[in-house]
Amino acid sequence: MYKGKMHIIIFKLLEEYFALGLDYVKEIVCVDRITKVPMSPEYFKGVINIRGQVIPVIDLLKMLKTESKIGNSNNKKIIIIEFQDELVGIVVNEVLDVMEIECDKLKQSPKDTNALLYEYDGNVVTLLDILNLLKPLTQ
Amino acid sequence: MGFNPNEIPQEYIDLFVSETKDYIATLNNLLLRLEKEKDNKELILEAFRLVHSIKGNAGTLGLSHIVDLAHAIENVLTTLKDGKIEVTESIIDTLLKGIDKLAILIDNIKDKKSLQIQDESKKILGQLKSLADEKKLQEEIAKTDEKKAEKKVEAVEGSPEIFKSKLSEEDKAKIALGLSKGMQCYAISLILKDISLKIVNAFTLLHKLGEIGDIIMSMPDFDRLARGEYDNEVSILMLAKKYSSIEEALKGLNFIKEYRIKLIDEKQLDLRDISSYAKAQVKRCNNIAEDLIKRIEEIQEGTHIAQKPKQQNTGKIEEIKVKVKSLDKLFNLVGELVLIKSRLNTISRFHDISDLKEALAMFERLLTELQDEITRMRLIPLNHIFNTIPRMLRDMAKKAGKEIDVILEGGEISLDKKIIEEIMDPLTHIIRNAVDHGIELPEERVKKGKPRVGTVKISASREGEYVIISVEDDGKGMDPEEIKKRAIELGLISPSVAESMSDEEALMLITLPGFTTKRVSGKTSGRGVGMDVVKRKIEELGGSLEIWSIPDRGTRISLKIPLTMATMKSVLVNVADEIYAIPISSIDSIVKTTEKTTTKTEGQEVLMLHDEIIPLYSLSKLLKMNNKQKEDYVVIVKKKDKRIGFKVLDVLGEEDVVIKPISKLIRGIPGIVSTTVLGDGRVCFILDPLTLIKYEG
Repeated sequence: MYKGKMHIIIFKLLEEYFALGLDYVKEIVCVDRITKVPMSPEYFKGVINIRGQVIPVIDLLKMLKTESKIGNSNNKKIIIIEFQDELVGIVVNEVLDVMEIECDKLKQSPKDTNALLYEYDGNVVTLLDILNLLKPLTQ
Repeated sequence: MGFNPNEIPQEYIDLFVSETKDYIATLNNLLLRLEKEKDNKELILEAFRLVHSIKGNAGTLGLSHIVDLAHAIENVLTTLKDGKIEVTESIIDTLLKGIDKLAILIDNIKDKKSLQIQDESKKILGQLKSLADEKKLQEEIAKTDEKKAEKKVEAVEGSPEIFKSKLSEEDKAKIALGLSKGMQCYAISLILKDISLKIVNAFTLLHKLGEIGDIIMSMPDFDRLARGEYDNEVSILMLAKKYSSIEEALKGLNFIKEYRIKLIDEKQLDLRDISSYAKAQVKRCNNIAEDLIKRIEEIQEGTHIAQKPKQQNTGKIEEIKVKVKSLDKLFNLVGELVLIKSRLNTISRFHDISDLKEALAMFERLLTELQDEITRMRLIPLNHIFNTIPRMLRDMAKKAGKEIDVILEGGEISLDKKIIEEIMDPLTHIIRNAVDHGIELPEERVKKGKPRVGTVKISASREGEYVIISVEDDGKGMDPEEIKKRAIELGLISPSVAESMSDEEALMLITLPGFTTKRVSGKTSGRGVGMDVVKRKIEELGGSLEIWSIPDRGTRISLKIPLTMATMKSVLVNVADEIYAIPISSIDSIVKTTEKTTTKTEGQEVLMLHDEIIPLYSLSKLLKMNNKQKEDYVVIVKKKDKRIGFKVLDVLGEEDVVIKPISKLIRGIPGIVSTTVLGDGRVCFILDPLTLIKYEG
C-alpha cells in the first residue's frame, strides 16, 4: 500500500502514539475554545473557528474506541486535516515529530488489518488510514 | 429663497443625493490629480462639468444654499481653467474644503436636518469667492499701492519680523486687500494665564478675534493652537478696523494675563512686490468677467446638447435604482426562506415521502438561484471606498509631514455592500499605520537612499470566492526580532515561546490585544482601532489577515475577505453555558419567569401568560446538554395559532449574525440551521427550536 518514502506526523493521544501521512495535514493550531455540538456522536468534540471558517473537531480516541480508557482528552492542540474538500480537526495531546520514513519499515498490525505500525524512539506508533476512518462521517 | 424639503418628492431628493455623492467622490479625485498635474486643463474642465451639474440639479430642487456653494466652486474652477490664476496647493485645499462642505450639506438634506447655511460654510463660501474675485483682488492691491504713497501710518514701535518671514504670498495679498478696505494690520502678543483649558481657550480667542476682523496667522500656527499645543505665549497677526475693538475683545477674555497690540506699517510686511505684480496683471484681468460668462454659456450649451440624446433614448429601461432598504429586506426574506428550507428538510428526513423530497429538491434549487441573484444585486465595486482613499491619504500624509504617492489597483472588483461598509474602518486603520509608522519622513528617506516620496499601494485581486486586498508601503518595515522583544516586554508572550516563533508568527504578534510598537502612540494612529480590532473585524466577516515585512523595504498587510455574505437577525441565548442564536423571525416574545407564573399540569411544565397556557420546554434538555442552573428566561415561539416556550439560562441580546456554511460532517442535526461566528471568535449554532420539540424523543 505504501512505497518508497513518506512524510508522517507523529502525535500522542493519552498514552498512545499515532501517526498520519503529512499530505493530509493542513496546519496545527491551538484554540482556546471549542463549541460543543449538541445531539451528536460522542466523538464530536465540537466546532472551532479558524480564520472565520467553522471546522468540526473529532476526538480520535473516542472514534477508535480503543479499549474504552476514554479519559477526558481535554486538549486544545488540534491537527487540521483536509479531506474531500472539507476541513476536520483532530484533538491531540502532543505533536511529537514530523519525519520522513522508509515505507518498508512499516509493519502490519497483528490486531487490525487496516493499521500499520512503525517503531519510533522505542515506542510503537500506529499509522492511521485517516481517509478510511473519516469516510463514514460524511454519509 | 425659502425652501421646505417636504414639498419636494423624497425620491427626487434621494436621487439627487446619491448622484451628487458620486460626483463628489469623483471631484475629490480630480482635484487630487490636479494637484500633481497642475497644467492638465482636462481635469479642471471635468471638475467644472461636475460642479455645474450639481449646481443645476440643486437649482431644480430649490436647494439654494447648495447652488450658492456650487456656484462659488464653479467660479474658482473657471478662473483656473482660463489660466487667470495658477493652480496652487492652497487653492486645491480651499476647493477640497468647499467640496467637503458640499458633502456635508448633501448629508444634511438626506437627514432632513436644517438646511440653513452654517457659519462655517459661509466662511468657505467667502474664501472661495475671494479666490474667484482675483480680478477684484488684484485691482484692490493695485489701488492700495497707489494709496500707500499718500497714507501715513503711525506705526507703533516694534517690528513684526516674526511674522514677516512666514507670510505667504497669499497672506500678503489678503493683508493688502484688507488694507484697501480700510482695515489695519495689527500684531498682538498675548501672555495667557497658566490654566488647563488650552483647546477651549484657543478656540474662544480665535473666535472672538475672528468676529472683529480677519486673522492672518498665529504663532504657534492655528493647528497647534487648536490642539492646545502651546505655551502661554501666543502671537497673532490680524486685520481689524479699530484698535479699540481688539482691545475690547481681549478684555472680555479672562484667561489672558497680558496683551500688547501693535499697529503694523504695511511697509514692514513687504507688500510692495505683490502690488507691483498685481498692477501688471490688472490689464489682463479686465476681461475676466466677460470671459467667465462666455465660457459658462458655452459649457451650458455643451451640456444641454450632450444631455438631449440621452433623454430621447429608446423607451427600454436597462437599469432602475433600487433603495438599499428594499434590497436588504429582500435579502432578509431569503434568509428566512433558508430557515424554512432547513425545517422542511428535517421533516422530510422523518417522513419518507418521495413527492415531498422531489418538491423539496426543486425548492432548494430555486432558493439557491434566488439567493445567488440577490447576492449579486448587492455587489458594489470596491472603487466605492477606493475613491475616498487618495483624499484620506493626502490628509494623513500632510498631517504627518510625509510625502506619499498612492497607487490603487483592482477597484473594479465587486463585493457585498455590507462587506464594503465593514472593511472601510479596518482598511483605514491599516493605511493610517502605513502612513504613520511605515513611510519615513522625506529627509530620513533621502538619507537611506530611498526616493523622497514614499508609496502606498492598495490593490485588490480576486481569488475564487474571496478578494485579497493588500496595503503595501515602501517604508521602514518591521523587524520580527524587535516585535518579539516588545511582546515579551509587554508580557504578551514568554521568551521561550518567542524563540520558537517563525518570522511570520512574530509579525502576527502585532494583532494581539494590547500590543503597541510605539511607547507613545502617534498623532494619527493613537486614535481609532488597533490591529487586534482590525483582525477581529476581518475574521468576523469570515476573512483572514496576513502580514509580510522586510526591515527598511516595507510592509504588506493582506486581507482575504469573502465576496459575499448572508446574515440573519438573531437573538443570542445562553443554553447550559453555550451560546445559541435563534432567528428573530421565529420568536414571538421573551419573558422572565417566576415561581408563581409556572406550574405543572400532567407532567408538562406550563407558563401562564395573559390567560394563555404556554407549554414550556427546557432547551438544554432538548439539546441533551447538562444543566443544573435555573432557567429563568423563556423564549416564546409561535407555532400556527399556538405558542410554545423554551427555557434558557439567559438572553444576551440581538445581533445580525453572519451565516457560515455548515460542515458536511455535522449536517442533519435536528434544530441546527447553520453556524455563525460571534464577535469574540467563538462558534455559535443557529437554532430553530420548533424542529426540536416535534422530534423530541
